[in-house]
Amino acid sequence: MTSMGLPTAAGREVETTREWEPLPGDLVVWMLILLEVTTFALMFVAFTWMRSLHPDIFHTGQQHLHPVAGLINTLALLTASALVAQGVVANRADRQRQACRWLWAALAAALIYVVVKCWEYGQLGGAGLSLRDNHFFMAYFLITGFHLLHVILGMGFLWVMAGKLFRGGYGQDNALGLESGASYWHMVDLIWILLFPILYVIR
Amino acid sequence: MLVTIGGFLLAEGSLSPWVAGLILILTIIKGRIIVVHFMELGGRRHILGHAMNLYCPLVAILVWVILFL
Repeated sequence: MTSMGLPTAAGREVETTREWEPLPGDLVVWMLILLEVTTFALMFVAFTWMRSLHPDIFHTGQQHLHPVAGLINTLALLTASALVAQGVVANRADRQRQACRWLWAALAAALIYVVVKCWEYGQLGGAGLSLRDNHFFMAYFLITGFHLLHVILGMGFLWVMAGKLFRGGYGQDNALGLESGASYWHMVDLIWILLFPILYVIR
Repeated sequence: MLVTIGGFLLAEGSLSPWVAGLILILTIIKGRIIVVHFMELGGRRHILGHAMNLYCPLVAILVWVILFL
């Protein structure tokens, strides 16, 4: 619990307690994060519900996926998230150049995800599969494509934040933007943590 | 990462509800690690923080219920 002074009509400050503790980063970004994860939750539930209606189509469709590629993507995104977290910690310790290097490393890990995901799409496209084929592939391409867009946007944020860190734009007392961008990136990772077992693993 | 690989290996072949449930529990654990340690929401009193902490468990339970009940 943190306390804050509030002026009274008599001009004296009264100690009171704030019910909610501040979140890392900007509150508006957190509201966006909540909106995004809710959207993906609805997609996951819809995917699962469609699978319960068409189990054979979904089972056959899953055979075309590359679960090892999905595993590599999971490890890449988890690594990127850990590296981003290290960048935030380094910035708090007033080591902006080190934080910049952590974010560059996170970008490299995220790039692995993008390359593998594009390879997957290429493999499926080469096999003549697209989102027009059946319910499974429509759901698969929509969900993973939507997530890929979020990953690319997150990579853009990381790029901008790394550049700002390099120029000394953040600091111990000026980390709102960095923490907001980091929180967005962790959201992207959190969504994939659910996406991978639902689409790839559980049959 | 070990949790991810473990869940992946568990899923070789077709899944019983119990194995799928175990994989979803492992997913919840991974999600909690991300929310508590990476997002730094552990121990914070905020409604959005509580919502994020509930996200993975709720989705996992919904998925399991739809698939197996």
